[in-house]
Amino acid sequence: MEDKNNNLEIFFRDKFNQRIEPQDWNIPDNEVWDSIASNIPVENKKRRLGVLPLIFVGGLTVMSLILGYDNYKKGRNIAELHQELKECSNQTNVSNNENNPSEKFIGESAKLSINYQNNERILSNDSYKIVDLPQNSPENHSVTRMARHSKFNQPHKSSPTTVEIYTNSIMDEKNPFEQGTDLKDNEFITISSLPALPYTTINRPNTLPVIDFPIMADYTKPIKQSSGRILIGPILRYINWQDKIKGSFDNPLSELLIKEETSPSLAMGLAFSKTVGSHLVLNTGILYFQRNQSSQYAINLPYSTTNEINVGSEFENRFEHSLPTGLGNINTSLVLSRSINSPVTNNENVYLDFSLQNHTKALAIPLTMSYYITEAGAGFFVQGGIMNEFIIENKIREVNTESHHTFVRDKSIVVDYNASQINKLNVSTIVGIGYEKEIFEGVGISLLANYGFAVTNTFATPDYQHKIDQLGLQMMVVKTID
Amino acid sequence: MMVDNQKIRLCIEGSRIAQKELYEAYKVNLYVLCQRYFADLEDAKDVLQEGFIKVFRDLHQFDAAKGHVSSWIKKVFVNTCLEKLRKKKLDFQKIDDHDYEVVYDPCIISDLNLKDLTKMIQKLPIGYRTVFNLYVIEGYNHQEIADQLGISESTSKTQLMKAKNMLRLRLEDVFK
Repeated sequence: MEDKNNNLEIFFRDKFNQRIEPQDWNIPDNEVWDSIASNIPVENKKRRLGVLPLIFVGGLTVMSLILGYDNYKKGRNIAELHQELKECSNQTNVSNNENNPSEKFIGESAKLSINYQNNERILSNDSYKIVDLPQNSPENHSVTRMARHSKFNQPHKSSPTTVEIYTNSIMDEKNPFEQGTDLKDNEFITISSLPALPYTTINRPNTLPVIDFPIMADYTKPIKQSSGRILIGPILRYINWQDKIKGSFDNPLSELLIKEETSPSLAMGLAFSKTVGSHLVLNTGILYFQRNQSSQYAINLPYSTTNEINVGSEFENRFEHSLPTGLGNINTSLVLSRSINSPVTNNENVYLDFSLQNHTKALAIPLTMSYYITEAGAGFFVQGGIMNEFIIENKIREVNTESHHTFVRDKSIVVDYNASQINKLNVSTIVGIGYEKEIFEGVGISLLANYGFAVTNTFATPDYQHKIDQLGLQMMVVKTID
Repeated sequence: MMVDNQKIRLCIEGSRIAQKELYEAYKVNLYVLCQRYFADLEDAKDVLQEGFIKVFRDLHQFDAAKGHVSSWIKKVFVNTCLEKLRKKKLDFQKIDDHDYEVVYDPCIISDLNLKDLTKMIQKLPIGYRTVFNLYVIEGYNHQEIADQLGISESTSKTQLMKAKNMLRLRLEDVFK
């Protein structure tokens, strides 16, 4: 009686695990689908975009903040400079120049100071000679006449709203007006946008033809990375893997490899850079990442009744196969079993959907050279080099099977991973573009987008090649070590 | 038609094309499943519709590590069937007792097709049918059935025994 009960159960279970032929059933028409479709959410295109746009938006936000902060700092400096100049003009002591009647000598050796952020700050210790020219004096044009230095030999317009500063490298401490020296060797720089000091010429002995207000130099002079400087910092890299498969696997099941894809990875590590020239930086580092590679197969196995093995109340067919994956061969042992009463014809095909996932842990050592368009360590750069990837561990995860056949009551699949066939070192060539910006003194941030073309195969046979290209987005914080 | 992880992801993201493909891939099997629980075809259609709505609504909860999507979908549908049965106020205690002793010959019934067997199951009283489906076809144990249906394990066992006896009787009738 117990046997009969079990037989009835087995019979029904087998029958309902068969592949169902649609023509035997009055399948609902499109009306049901229409009703389902009207009750489920519509396509959310934002979600389809994945994590990539988030990274782009994040990168853009960081860049905007950096550039915004930079502009704010520059704007503040300019405003302060204007203020300083106004204060300069207010603090000058006017006195007559007795030696030159056509000009009123306003002051000599004036020490200019401004109040900067609550600190009394010396603007310059240099000697200034400030002269007041009559508005209608022909000497007012002497400024033009004076500008005959080789670098500034083009005529300068002189007007009450123009301040001209000239430096004299020959006269040192001497007053050119007192000495009656020809002023042709003096150097001039014109700042037409600055506040006007009417009828006033600031005569400043100095040697360099630059706008060298000391306070200005502090804020606007870019911090250069001198050659040989070493930078170190954490690195975060998002990698979108691109599986490239060529040829066919030399295996009876080769045509059944339906799809292989690698999920994106987030790599973390440490980067080292060294400036090797005014525009060149050598980069290396170490990155750790994990990735999942999914392989899907549709397996069609002929069930042999002549070779089947009797195991109690069941018969079994056993199959051994070597399946290709992106990382090497995966040896599988499949056991298909049927109950004694299951109807089957010899060599009847058994269809299985089979999928497995390789979980890989790897270390990557990049070796790249960056060329900075302006100067090393600042602004946009292009990068090229190689990425060496060392696979340190690979495990098989998520083995799924689904039978679509009539008589298969049970199935078991044993998967054996052949680690020796894995290519332990994979090399890619990398090209990319990036942007680097110093955010604090000695600390910079670098954003980089690059593409890596696989040079070596992750797995290959004479007729089959599997390479994995990579699209990477990278953020790096660098600290300068002197 | 194979439903892979990519397609599942597209379904979760709301792709109508992927959702239609998933529906087409499983509608036949699931419609047969629904008919095993509901003799009335309109009820079966309703459950088919409700089940797919639940599948698409909850597909993000599917964990590929725990099994194939088809198993998960099947479970959703079984639960949907049980929910509908509960709404119909299924009462196992009021089901009449039947005491059939029928000789079962597997060789005879092996010629029956799936549709004939489904019709036989449909003719079982609703309680017998539900326990039989859950235990024999879906592979639940009596504890799980008891939990799902809010009955005791012994009731589940009794219902199963009676369902099988009744099926034997029906099979006997067919081949008399």
